[in-house]
Amino acid sequence: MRKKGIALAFAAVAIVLGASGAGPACFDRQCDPGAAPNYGENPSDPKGHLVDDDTWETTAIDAPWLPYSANTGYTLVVLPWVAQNRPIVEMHAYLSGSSQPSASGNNFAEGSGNSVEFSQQKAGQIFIYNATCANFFVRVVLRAGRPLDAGVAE
Amino acid sequence: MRRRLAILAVAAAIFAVPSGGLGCFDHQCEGDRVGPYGEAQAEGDFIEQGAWESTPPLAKWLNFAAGRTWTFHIPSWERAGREVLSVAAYVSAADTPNAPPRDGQYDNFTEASGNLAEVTRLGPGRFEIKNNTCTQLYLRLVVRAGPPRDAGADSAANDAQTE
Repeated sequence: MRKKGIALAFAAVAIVLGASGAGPACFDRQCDPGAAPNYGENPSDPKGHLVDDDTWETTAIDAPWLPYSANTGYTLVVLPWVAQNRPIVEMHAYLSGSSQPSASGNNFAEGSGNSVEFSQQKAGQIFIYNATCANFFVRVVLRAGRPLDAGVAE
Repeated sequence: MRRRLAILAVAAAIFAVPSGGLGCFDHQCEGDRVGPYGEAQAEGDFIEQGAWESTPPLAKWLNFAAGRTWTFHIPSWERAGREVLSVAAYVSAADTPNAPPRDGQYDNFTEASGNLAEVTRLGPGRFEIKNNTCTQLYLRLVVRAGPPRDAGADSAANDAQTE
């Protein structure tokens, strides 16, 4: 009876921990901060492209998305907007477990929370960081406002 | 039998801790209702004719206290019958997340989902957003509107805002 009770208790704790989000933690060095390269800042190596004058994407939706590993990020630089002193007013980051989410059977979702942390924003530039221990692929769509010196910013 | 019940009670207690999390105490989560925001000249601005932001990204964001509901009213969109097309709600723990770094540390923000920013449509140019959590946040919205109900209606806009 006693053995059975102990076994039941262990089972209950295991079920509870499993169900409540304890989940697998980071092991070894998998969660050490990784590289955070600039993306799009080199005019001789253009990355990303303007969909229209006000909209920029890291990659086309049906192209391979950017690797977005645990604890890594990118400084996204849209050179035309930097030159025009245009703020990024809207930002969307889509995440997938696949590098080609548009391929049959794959999918993606809009990222939020600490899977998509934006910071260090200035004209034409923003930093995006994956502060989780999960590896994703990312596609970012940015939209710009009017130039900061046009009196829109304040 | 009694022992088995006791084990189940312990298991239930364990379950309550990790999944229930910290609850709200006293009146901290009752929340309040503020607004309407967007009627005065200093309240928000148009990025373009069909896009409006509550504050510029580099400015101070709206206080989005735990449980708070912000009501928004964009008069020119209401008069033109422009329906809200999309709402991007960005939240931060800092009131000015794009401020220069302090001690080398930058603040950050993310797009909200779930009960961090629950949107309710109230009509053309009118909506509200609730922080249905017990967390103090700061909010910035980018809202896009559909076309005017009829051509030319938008040109009659004559409120305090500059479009």
